[in-house]
Amino acid sequence: MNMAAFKEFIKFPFYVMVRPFTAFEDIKYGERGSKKYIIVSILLMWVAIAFNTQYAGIVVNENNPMTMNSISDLYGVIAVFVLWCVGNWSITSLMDGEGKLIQIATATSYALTPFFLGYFVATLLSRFITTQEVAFYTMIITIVTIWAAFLLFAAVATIHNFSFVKALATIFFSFVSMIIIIFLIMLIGALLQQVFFFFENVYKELTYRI
Amino acid sequence: MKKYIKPLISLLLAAVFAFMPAMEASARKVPYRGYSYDNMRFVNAVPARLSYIPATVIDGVDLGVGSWSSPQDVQVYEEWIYVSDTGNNRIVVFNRYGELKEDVGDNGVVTTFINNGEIDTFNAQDGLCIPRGMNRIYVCDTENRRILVFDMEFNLLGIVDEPDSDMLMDYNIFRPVKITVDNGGRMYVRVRNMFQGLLCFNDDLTFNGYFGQLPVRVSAWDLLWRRIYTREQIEKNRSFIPTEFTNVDIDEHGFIYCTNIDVYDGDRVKILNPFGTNILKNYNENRNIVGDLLLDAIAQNFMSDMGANTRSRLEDIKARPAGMYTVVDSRKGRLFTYDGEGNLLYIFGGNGSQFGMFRKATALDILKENFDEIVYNIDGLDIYRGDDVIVLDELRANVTIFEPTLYGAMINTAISLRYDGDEGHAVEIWREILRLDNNFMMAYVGIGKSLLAEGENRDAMLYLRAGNDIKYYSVAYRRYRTEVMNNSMPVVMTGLFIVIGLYYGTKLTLWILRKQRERRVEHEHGGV
Repeated sequence: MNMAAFKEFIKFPFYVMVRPFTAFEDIKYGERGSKKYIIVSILLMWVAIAFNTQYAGIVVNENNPMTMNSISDLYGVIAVFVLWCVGNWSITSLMDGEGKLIQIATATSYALTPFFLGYFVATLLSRFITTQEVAFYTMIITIVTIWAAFLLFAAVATIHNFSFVKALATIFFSFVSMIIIIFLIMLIGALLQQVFFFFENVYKELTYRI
Repeated sequence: MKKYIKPLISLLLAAVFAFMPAMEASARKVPYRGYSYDNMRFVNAVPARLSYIPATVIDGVDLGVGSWSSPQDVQVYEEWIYVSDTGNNRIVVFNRYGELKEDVGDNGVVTTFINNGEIDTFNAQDGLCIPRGMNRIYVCDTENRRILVFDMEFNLLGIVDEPDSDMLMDYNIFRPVKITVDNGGRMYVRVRNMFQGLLCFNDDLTFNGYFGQLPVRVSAWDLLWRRIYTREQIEKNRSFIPTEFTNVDIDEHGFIYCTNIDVYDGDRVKILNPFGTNILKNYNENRNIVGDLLLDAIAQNFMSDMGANTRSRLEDIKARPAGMYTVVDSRKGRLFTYDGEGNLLYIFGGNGSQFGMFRKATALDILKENFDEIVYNIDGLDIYRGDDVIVLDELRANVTIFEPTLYGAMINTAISLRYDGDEGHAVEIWREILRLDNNFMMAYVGIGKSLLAEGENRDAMLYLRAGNDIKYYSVAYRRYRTEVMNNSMPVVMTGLFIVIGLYYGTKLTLWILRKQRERRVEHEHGGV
């Protein structure tokens, strides 16, 4: 990556944050935006969440330090990200969406930018506040959450070329399909376990008899 | 020499500790484990020192009066222990050394008394009350449906029968079970199956009214279901009536302490003022006064199967000096002691078959005999022994007397010093307690608050954080932040101005130099 490309890589997420519709249009037509940002975004998201659980100030930190596990945070972030992308893709391909899976993933990763940036800022701030100033912390978290949600909406609407209502409906059904996917995975897991136990028993019986 | 002083002192202290009478007792095998709860946002059970240990067990056979049959109440007056031997319709009076009180009843056993010239008996009498300085004994004669008032020699002074009042409902049979009496001679009686509250009787034995009714709580969810239900379903559903009190006691100021079996979340102890309003203080969020906070704390944390996996059922309460009170959990046989601010101080006791364990602990009282005995002295600071606790077991039909260990005595003393406003000396004891048990959260908070008052904000922050007192930690932190800002502001601002000054100064100098050079160059060119 040369210097100009690197500069662009750093600057583009901020451009997405303030000009979402234009930026996602650019991502859609492959003019700007990088697929590498998916990895960066997931990692930063993970670090932001783990950082918040571990280092948020005592005044706002409601996590039980005994159950803190940053690796499971990473699994959680990846799982939710993949689920969202697949869920959204499976719904939008049925609803005449134009976006490809990789485009959805790229756009989603750009949409998450304000979220983890805000989390870092809020976590740092939370170490210097008292109980009376918790409102500032909550405010930052709320603002970045709404911001990210709006970006996600803009991403879906732009990538798939949807109208306002259709984009909202798609987002809703994406969540439904995420739940269905989780259910199917659990079902497959249970069935595979049964099959595995069957062969295990057959093997055991054979070894006992021979 | 100097470096040997500290170890030497600790060695001496260790020797003193080892030969303490209270500590000697704790070297005996105690059948239950000490534990407590820390006050993190998530409920954790943590190991703690043993605060009270069983010293004596007395039952009817030891006294030579025949074994008791499901005794229901124990009361202490001065040195004498009064046990209501319910199943045998008698009251047994003895002291902690197993000696019967010879001048009452038939050599310490009261079975009969004279009522209007005739011999009368109890019938499954339950609660007793012997108020301070009144020379009276109140007995709930449950199955005879009356309350008996005696003097200290069990001569009958009066009888309270079922009050003839429109306020009482017809279907309620007047079966008084627990009683407490205030300084004015007013009786507060818990009647079996009466959910309207306590009954209050005046000193002249007339009926006064209800007292301290528990509020009924109906959720929106219940109301919604009642809309959907048919009439038959509503009739079969449980009705919305307040829960009953289980026991009552009164402290020296006349506040009435009650336990109840509230099925809802919330404090299951009420402290009622003379108007009947609840004045219980509990400053801990998510820490209701319910006995065990976890269903089975011991099993979850210390790999033991001693506790039943149930919620606590608070069966009896006793007000203690300095605003403390102790409740007994009859399901798990544990005793929980709280201070006047709702902090859990210590937990002891348990169910089992060993010496000092219970099958069904139903009542407790306080033996105050040794309260002023000084057991230890830290740098001129006295540790009082505190009061002994006596617990009645209904199924094992015995009483167990618990004595405080040094740790328990220290907590009792510290709470009593705090109650008297002697925060300074209390803090010294908190520090000693932390050396014995660094899970004792109140000590961190106590030390932290005193440091905060002294203006040691940085140290206060550390202690308050250890004690997880977010509110006071915030106060300490804000002061510390201001302090740091005040101290560093001149340096930072001066530095900033110097940096800015240097930056622009250099720029200006460079600009002047450049101008001069340009002029010179121009001059030289012009000269050519």
